[in-house]
Amino acid sequence: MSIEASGSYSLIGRFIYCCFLSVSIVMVLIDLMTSKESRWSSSKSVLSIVGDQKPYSCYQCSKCSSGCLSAELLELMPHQVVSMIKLGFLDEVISSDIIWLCAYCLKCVERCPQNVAPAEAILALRNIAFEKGVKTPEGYRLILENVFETGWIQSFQPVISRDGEIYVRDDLDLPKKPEISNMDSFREALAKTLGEES
Amino acid sequence: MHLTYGFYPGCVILTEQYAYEIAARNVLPLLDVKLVDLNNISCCGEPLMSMNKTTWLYLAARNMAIAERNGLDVVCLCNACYLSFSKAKKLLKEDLGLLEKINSILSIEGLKYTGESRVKHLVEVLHDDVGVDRIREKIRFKLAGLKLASYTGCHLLRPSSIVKVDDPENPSKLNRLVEALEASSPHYPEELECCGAGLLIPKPDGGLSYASTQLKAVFNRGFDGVVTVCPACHKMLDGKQAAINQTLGLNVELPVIYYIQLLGLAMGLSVRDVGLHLNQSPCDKLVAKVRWNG
Amino acid sequence: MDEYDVLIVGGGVAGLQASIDLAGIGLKVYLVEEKHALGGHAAQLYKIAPQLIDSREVVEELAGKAFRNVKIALYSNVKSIREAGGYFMVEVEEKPKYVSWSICNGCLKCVEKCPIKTSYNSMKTITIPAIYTIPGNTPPRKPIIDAGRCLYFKDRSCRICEETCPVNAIDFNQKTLTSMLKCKFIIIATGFNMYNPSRVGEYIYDKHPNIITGLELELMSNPSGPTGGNIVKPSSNKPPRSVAIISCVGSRSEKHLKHCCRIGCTAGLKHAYYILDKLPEAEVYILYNDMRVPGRSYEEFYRLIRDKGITLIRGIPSEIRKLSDEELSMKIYDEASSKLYRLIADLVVLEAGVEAKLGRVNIFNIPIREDGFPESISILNTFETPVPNIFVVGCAQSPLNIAESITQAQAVTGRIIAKIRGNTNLH
Repeated sequence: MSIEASGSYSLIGRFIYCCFLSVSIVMVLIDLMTSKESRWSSSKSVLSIVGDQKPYSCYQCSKCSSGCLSAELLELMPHQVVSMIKLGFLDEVISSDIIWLCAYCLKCVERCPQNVAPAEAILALRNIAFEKGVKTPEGYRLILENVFETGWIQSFQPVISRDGEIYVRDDLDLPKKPEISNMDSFREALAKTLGEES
Repeated sequence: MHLTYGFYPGCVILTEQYAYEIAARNVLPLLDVKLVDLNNISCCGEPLMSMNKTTWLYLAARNMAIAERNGLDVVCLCNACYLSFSKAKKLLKEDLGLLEKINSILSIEGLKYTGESRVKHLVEVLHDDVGVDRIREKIRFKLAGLKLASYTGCHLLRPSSIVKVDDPENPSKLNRLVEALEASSPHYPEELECCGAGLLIPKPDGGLSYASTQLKAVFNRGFDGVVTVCPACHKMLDGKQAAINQTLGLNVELPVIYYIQLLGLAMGLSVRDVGLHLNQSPCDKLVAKVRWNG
Repeated sequence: MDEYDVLIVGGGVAGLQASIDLAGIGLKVYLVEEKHALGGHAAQLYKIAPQLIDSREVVEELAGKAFRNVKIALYSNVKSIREAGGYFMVEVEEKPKYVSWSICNGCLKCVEKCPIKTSYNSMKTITIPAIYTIPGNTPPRKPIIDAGRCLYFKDRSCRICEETCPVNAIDFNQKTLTSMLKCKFIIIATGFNMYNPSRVGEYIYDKHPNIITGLELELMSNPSGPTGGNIVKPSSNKPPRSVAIISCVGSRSEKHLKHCCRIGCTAGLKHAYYILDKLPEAEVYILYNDMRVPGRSYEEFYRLIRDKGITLIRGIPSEIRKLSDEELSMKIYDEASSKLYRLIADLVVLEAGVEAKLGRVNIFNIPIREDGFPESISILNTFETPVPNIFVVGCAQSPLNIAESITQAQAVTGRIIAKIRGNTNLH
């Protein structure tokens, strides 16, 4: 572009050039199956929750998936989840069902040669799912409610013995149910933990 | 020799796995282990790991802080609680900023966490502190002839950087505790596989398929029963056995018993005293053998 | 006190090559080897890749030349070294062999009769008696008695070797001999240790006979080995039907050895070749993480083996489980087909990592890196340590293959000559 070019021409030219530049900065890695773009910077939020574990250390040996019982029974492939985090496709993983298929048996954490700890990364993704209000299993919400209410994850259940008798805890020779004396402080503290998002 | 611990049973034992608490309270004093009830305890936070890291850490820390305030170490009966506490301990030791944050929230309840109290699982207390020899001395009925599967459970073994109860690839402490009762407890290839309890909340049928894999493996290998040490594992293998048989069309009849219940029976306690009447799996078969070998 | 120009510690291929070259230019060389045989790990191999030449020939040539031209102290260790006036004062300790080698004719009848059996170097299928020769093609083939395992030394309860020996070579009264020497340069060529596969608990090496290490397969494939060169599964001594070769056992891992072993991928291919060569009907799988075969002729070597009909799967199994007394089962995720498989093998070969030896026995006070290998002065002097006139070559320096070890040994000769002639300070 010569210096003699008219002002409006060079302005439009520069504007188009900038648009192109900004679009090309965003569109670096695209999933051809979903047409979604990777957002690498959002992977870093996973790292801050998980701490030491580094999804980018993964060298794709798939040792985690080959030992994972959920891979065999439920089609969760931990190494694929890690790869998606690494590449920056968090939204897809968080809104999928697969992160809820981990039994947290920790074999992958024990055996991974690079300390990637897929199970911990999955927990971090679950935390983000809750934070963002993406669909999460109802059971967790009930647990949180119960803990707020009573300090325990569920109410005291009746049980049936092998010979058909029904027992509640008070029928059995056990001490009184432990309770928190100052529930207000407990609830205040719990609320604080939920208000303070990591 | 007197061992004293703050007693931390956790949610599952307190609200449904009553047998474990009954047995523990009746058997442990006979081994000179004193359990001190802790006031104001709550859930250990383990299920909250999936929801919010801070909430989990807080719940774990508050329970340990309560034990500290009483100058006691903690004994857990549940593997999940044990992992929750151990993991929290490690994190709060390494990240002082996190420790400060948690302590500032704990101050709302007038608590403070320093990390002084040690946390042990019942298996550690029985194997390392009480010891296999002392247990042997207290046995009145031997279980010779019984072949039992020692099912230690995931969270006591992994990850070995955090939980250091036993060799993660070759655990044997529970086996030795069972062998102290003169039963045999050979290793089997599936002994490190998960029971699926962690899937009960997010994917219950997935959890059942895990448990069924374990039950089938143990049953087909000719074991007389499974010995558990975690209420979550026990719930899956014992409590869900009937449901698994029905849903998946299996015919597994496997007694599932807590180690402390088995120990109690071997020491001469009654079925009621160890809460065995509450086990859902066909444990009467096992009891008959214990009595006969007296 | 005897004076030498160069002391070489270690009689593997690197130490032998260096000793021959240095003696060849007229220097006085003393070679100390802690075992009672030469050849190191190379002598335990059947063939050397990528040319697939017989390792025995290479070792025998090197050892032959060394025996003729170099002063060699076998079954000896460097006890201490001290620097004084530009020289090293070295104390060498020669352990008692309890066999008079000047009388011994190498018939090895004593070895056959000895009742003791211990596994050698954490390899469970290779057992050695208390009076033994080093497994492999390890010259000279004469035995010594390991007093720590021998029943005679324990409680005088056994003298079978003495009774068996036709030439009366057994001498229970030998003593440790200590000598001092003075030298100008020291070359450390002590080699490496194979990483103990028992430490990778998920691969249950201790729990099933049909899981062996690559080195055990080498010894087994050797015609002079325990099975006469036949590849068999230890459980039944019959040939295996399907073999799984697992790479990277204990290597590239935060939990074991962080470094790459350099030779495992090549070794796995070579082992696949041995198996198919002797058992053309066997199904051979290599389960790998990466296929690292750089260097001249290596890619061709890889293609040669691959085209013989082995199955290469990119996917490492998390664990091995016993299926029966003969068979093992493992799950693998295959990247290419994106599926989970179960593989059943009746022989599993673990390619175990290369562990630095020097970190544990460092009387030379060389600075050691985090990975256990010694510090080098610079990239232009990889085998020169920060301690002047002490060099480290071969696998003692870094995981290397045989050709590289020998090349380093040859290079150090040049360096020493330069230092002797004084022109080391070219700018």
